[in-house]
Amino acid sequence: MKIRIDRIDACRWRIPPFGKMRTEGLVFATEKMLRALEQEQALEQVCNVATLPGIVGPSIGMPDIHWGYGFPIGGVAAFDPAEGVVSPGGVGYDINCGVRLLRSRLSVGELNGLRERLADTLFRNIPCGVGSQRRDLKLSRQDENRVLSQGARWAVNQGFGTLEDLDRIEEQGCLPEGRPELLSEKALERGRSQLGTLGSGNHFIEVDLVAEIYDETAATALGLFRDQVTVTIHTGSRGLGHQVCDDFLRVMHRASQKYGIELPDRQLCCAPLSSPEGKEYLAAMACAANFAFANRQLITAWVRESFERVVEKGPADLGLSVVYDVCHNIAKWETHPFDGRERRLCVHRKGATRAFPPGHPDIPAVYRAVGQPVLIPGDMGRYSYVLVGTQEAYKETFGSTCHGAGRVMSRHAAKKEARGHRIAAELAKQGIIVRAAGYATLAEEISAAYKDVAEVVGVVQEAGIGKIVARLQPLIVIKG
Amino acid sequence: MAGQKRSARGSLVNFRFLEHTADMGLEVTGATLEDLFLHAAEGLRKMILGEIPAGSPDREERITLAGEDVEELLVTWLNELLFLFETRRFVPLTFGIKRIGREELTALVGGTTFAEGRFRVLREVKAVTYHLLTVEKKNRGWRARLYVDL
Repeated sequence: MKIRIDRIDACRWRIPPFGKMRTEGLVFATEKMLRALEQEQALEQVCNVATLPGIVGPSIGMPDIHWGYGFPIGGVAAFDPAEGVVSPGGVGYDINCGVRLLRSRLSVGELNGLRERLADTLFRNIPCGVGSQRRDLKLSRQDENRVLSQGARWAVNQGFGTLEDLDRIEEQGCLPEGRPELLSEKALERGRSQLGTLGSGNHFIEVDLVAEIYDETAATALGLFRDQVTVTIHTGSRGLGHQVCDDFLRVMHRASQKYGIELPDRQLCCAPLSSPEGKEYLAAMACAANFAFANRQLITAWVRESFERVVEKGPADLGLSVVYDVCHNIAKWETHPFDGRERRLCVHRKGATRAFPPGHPDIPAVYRAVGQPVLIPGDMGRYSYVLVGTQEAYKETFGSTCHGAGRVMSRHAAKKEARGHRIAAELAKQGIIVRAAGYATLAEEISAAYKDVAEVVGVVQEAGIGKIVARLQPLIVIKG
Repeated sequence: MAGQKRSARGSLVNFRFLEHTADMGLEVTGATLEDLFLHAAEGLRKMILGEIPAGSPDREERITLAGEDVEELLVTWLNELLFLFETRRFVPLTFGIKRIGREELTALVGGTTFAEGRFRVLREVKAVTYHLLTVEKKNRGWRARLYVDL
């Protein structure tokens, strides 16, 4: 389908409404990115989202946008409580997939001679292959219900972390509207065996160094300094979230017919926010989100344990504390200024990150002067970025920004590209130690398979929907 | 990337992987609906485990499913196999489809337990999706296209 797209400025593009679109599309991209997007169906998906009932403001595509299921990955859309809908396709299978950043008191030199051992210890301590699980974590049915209701707080109550960690997590690590009784037996069974596991694909744990600081004031507020050792954890709600999504796609398919919602793509099936189906999906999704918060909290505890063992320092000297933890696959009730008044809206972010501005009451007091930390991982061979939220994002994108690099190459193409390369050895030459559980993972996750995340955050900064604070460079990469 | 060999049941395996920027797809054909479901299951297994060593089943799982239409039935069937692999480490080897219609399926699936060393996992599949899903009856059999979330 040929879609008309008009340039607004160097990194903003508008898709005027056509056909059944109820609103316009707004895409953040350079011209080069946009031309690449025209080769796939991501722009068509921006238009499809714009046809959904009760959408408020534009259907938005972030600079890391790519072809997803139903919604594009890198898509943001807000819906009115009375007229609007909620769609599992606007959240994705991996509910509350997200990123957590830990800072330390260590400088990179303090890991000299320890990196191989640290990589092995992290790889052993944090389960990441099929069926791998910590033997010391047995989850009863009752415990699982608590995880689903309490999120990260459950893990902290079990001794995995501190109360201070909770203050530095989006929503303090818990969506309170979770109702575990809405989850299927299958979802619960998948959850019990997979809490505290990393998963595969693009999920990872990275030990990084702070390679560059771009905004000293914000970096100081976030506790970041040059050459500092940090840890990034990227994972989500594992099989439990996938099952919740799959279960509710069936429910929503029927609901779409029941409520007469015309769908351009079956994966966009949805229900009115005011309907029992819509409310139940949000309550089940909240459980999966809480599971993901607890998952990242457990993995944090095992990262700390691994560092203590290898670096031979106690918690106070290591100072491995949470900088922030963001969700990038979620639908949430939030209040936003729109058309001159405050409106309560259900904001879907699929492959997009909340990026609230300085002064917003929902961000931790310690960051309120600089804005909410935003964590944007890149690929395993290059770098990741730390940003903060801005007023511009709050006004224009419902307080949202990008979530990562975004793939540009299929897995088959990536494997072809990787042929003849000894990826682990080549990364080691760059000073990056990598451990991976899946046999195809390294080839499929090569740097060339992703957009250069520097270009993505460059667009974000130029558009004003995020402000770059620091660049992180990988030292150790653990892949599922 | 196509599968072209005789399966344990003697039917011609017929599927190929489809390119997708972020994920992967599967195109499957079958002379009958039963064949289509069988080939789709073999395709999904190959996506996760690649070529597997020869072996006979030593476990069985009975699967009974219903769907609103044949598309939903296919997605539900494959997601059920994913669920069994993830939670019970069940590697399916033979697919005894006992009864199949457009809206229901009963199968006795023979398999074995996943063991490191014997099998190797290429990649984890999160779910089989409804995105661009098609199941069509053609003059000479059935064809389906589907995409998985990785």
